Amino acid sequence: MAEAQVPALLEVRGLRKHYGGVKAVDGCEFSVLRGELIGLIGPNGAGKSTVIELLSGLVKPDAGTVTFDGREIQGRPPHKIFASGLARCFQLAKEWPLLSVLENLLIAIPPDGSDTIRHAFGSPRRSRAAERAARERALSAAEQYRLYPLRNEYAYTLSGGQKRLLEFARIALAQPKLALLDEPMAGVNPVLQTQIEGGIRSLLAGGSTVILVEHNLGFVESLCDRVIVMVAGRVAAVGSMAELRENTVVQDAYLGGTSVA
Amino acid sequence: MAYFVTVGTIGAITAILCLGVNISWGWAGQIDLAYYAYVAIGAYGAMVLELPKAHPTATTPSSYVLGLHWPFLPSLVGATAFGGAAALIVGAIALRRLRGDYIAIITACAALMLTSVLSQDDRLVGGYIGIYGLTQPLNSVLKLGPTGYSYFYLGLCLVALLLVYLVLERIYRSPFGRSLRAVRENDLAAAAFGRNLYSLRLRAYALGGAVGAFGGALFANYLLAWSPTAWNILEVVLLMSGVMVGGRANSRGVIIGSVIVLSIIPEVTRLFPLLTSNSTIGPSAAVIIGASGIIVMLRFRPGGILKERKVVDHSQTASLNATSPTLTVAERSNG
Amino acid sequence: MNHFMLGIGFGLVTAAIVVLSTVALSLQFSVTRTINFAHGELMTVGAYAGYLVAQHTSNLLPQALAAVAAGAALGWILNWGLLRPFTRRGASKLVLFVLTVATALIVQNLLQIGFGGSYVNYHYSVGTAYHVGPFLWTSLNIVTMAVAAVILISLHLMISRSRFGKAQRAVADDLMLARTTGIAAERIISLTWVLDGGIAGLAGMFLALQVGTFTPTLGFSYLLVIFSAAIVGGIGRMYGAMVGSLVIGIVMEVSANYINPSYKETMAFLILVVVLLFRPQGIVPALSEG
Repeated sequence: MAEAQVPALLEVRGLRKHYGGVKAVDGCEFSVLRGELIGLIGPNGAGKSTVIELLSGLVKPDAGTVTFDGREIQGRPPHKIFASGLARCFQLAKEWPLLSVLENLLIAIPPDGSDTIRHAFGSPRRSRAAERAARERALSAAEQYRLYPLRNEYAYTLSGGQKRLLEFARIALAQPKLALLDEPMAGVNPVLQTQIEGGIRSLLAGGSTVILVEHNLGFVESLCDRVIVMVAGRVAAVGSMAELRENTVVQDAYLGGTSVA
Repeated sequence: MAYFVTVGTIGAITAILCLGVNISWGWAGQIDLAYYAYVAIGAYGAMVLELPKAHPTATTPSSYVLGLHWPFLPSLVGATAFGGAAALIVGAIALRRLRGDYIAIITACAALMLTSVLSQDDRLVGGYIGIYGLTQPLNSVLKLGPTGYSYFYLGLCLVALLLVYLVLERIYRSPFGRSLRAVRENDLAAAAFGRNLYSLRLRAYALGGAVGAFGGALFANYLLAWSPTAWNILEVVLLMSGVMVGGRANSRGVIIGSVIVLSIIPEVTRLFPLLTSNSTIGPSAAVIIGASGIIVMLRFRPGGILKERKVVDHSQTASLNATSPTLTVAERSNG
Repeated sequence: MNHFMLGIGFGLVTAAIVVLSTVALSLQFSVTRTINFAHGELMTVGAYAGYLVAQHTSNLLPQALAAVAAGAALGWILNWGLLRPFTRRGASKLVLFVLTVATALIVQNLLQIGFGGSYVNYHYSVGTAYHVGPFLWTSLNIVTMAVAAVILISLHLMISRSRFGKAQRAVADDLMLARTTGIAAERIISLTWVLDGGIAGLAGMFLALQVGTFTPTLGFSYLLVIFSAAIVGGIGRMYGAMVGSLVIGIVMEVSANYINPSYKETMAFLILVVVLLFRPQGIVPALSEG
């Protein structure tokens, strides 16, 4: 794979997070190019999920820099990171249970300062137009992910698979520059998997860059151009799945222990 | 009849206070033990704005700041702003880094500090003596008799309650209310979707303080006097109990719960001394029943009598583009 | 006469009362992780129990025993009758907290019905005042500090040496693990509440004797001082609680020399606010105390 000479969208250098004696992430370095769909794999406890938490700002790193879209974002609060164009989904779907499905989707659309007390009353024409546009986008996303009939249900009443779709629809609505998907396929049936796969492709088609954390290496191979392998808090190897199969470090640490289809 | 007018007036004011508690407790999920301090700030604030300059004499030793001699309605607005500003200051400290129980402790400290300063320093708002001498608001124009005026003030409070209800319903359904509820339901996910937790919580907290101060101002204009009386900051639990009994985050339920816990129960227990000859039993029994109410509700029906209402979209699948922009609120159908 | 040193002396007495209550709170918190807003009422029932017994005998020992028994009984009821049905169903910390606030109100108003809202007098013949170095203490002051010292030493021995203390530490560290390793966690928690209530009840009695007159809000008015001491020391840490109590007690009494004495509790809250903002883990670093 030829390295393009354009600046990377995401550049991670020396990222570190220790919990007591546990080195969850320990000097992790990688970069992601614009428009790429990159896989992030590694055995359990390799630090993949911690990297997601660190990138999205929910956990503060001990050391290291994260340059996203030309700006350093490490240690910034999560809502600012989201505003700069980085959205993530959660490994365990985190819907807002007592909000309706439609409201869950509406939260994902950046409010652009219209979620103030004043906007509930003041400048009604502009904020009402913005709210109407947001609702139309949310409803069409609901239709795309087969949630339209459920739009008025409380999110907690959804099935596990439907919550996954909701989670994914929220990411799609956020139209991020970079989407961090933490095992979006975990525990969903094949029909939904196809749907989410289609969703990932339409994210890419819409101009987003995607980091996909995934255990199912078959998916990773079919979807991702480039794969990052993490072992023990650091990047052990980067390359295509075919290249990684030849890599002895990766075989020892990871692939050797699992059956690859 | 006069009895029912009194109960109704105080009931309407109490319902406003419950709606204010519902913002921090029902919408945002915080325990605000400083709430009564904002009620007091509203009450004192309205009085020092309405009253003329203090002239302490031997017969009326009360002295206080300001004394701007404003008319009733601007004073009401000013008092509400005082409450909101005070809540903004306390909230800026309490919500910055702290969560859950620590917020309750800090707000309790703030309330106790304020109570101690207001009651010790008699230059601010009359110290232990408090302030009195307010005249019935608007009656210089209306010139009503005592009975007629009591009906008028009841009407005024009911209109105020309706106003607060409508304003809060609108905010609840607005993008702001939605963001706030998302923060309550799962704050990390809300932050990951671009919500500034601190700012949302602080704005909600200040809104709650403003509503409390508004209720306090109406209360002071009804009693025509205010002092650091015997209320205990813990009694905010009774307001929370009203919220819980009626239905957390459901404004209509909150009003119903407020009437049950803070109007009907105290009026019924007022009769207890007739049965037992113990003169202090009435108010205490009301507090005990109200506080027990919150325990029972938390145990057996945490959602309250009326459940939180859902914001419902009425658009039809066939005509997606002709979506009506209005979202309405419907009772939650499934338990 | 050195007012500053006198203030320190009174501060030590206040700290002795505060430390008893704070250590009890910290012990209970470290084991159960519940912030108990009814902790003040454990003190109040102790004060009233001591007061009731004092109507029959002027001997301090039966009064103290009654205070311990009353506090312990309330602590047991609070856990068994109120909190446990909720914790078993996995109630959130916020719910537990609201429960304890409601309990505080209920106990205050039950006492109000029983004893009336006006002040009751509770005195112990203080005897003569002694000069001890730069300090001036009554015999009651000295008894208070001696009792506090004895209880602190016994608690230290109990936690570090006894099997109960070890089991308590295990539950504090990891409740689920303690359950699976065969420790009767429910019984440890129940005993902890009893111990907490007993010590707090005794502290309440000493507090009541110190102030001389009190109402059903005695404990509640002191609750935030106790919280201040516990949090300043690092909540849930017994030895931190001791340091926190000393800081709070001495600051309160020394500041009373220089500003309006009715603001001395406000001083305690100010320290708490500052500590919570800048060092929420407390001023005492986590020692290896288990």
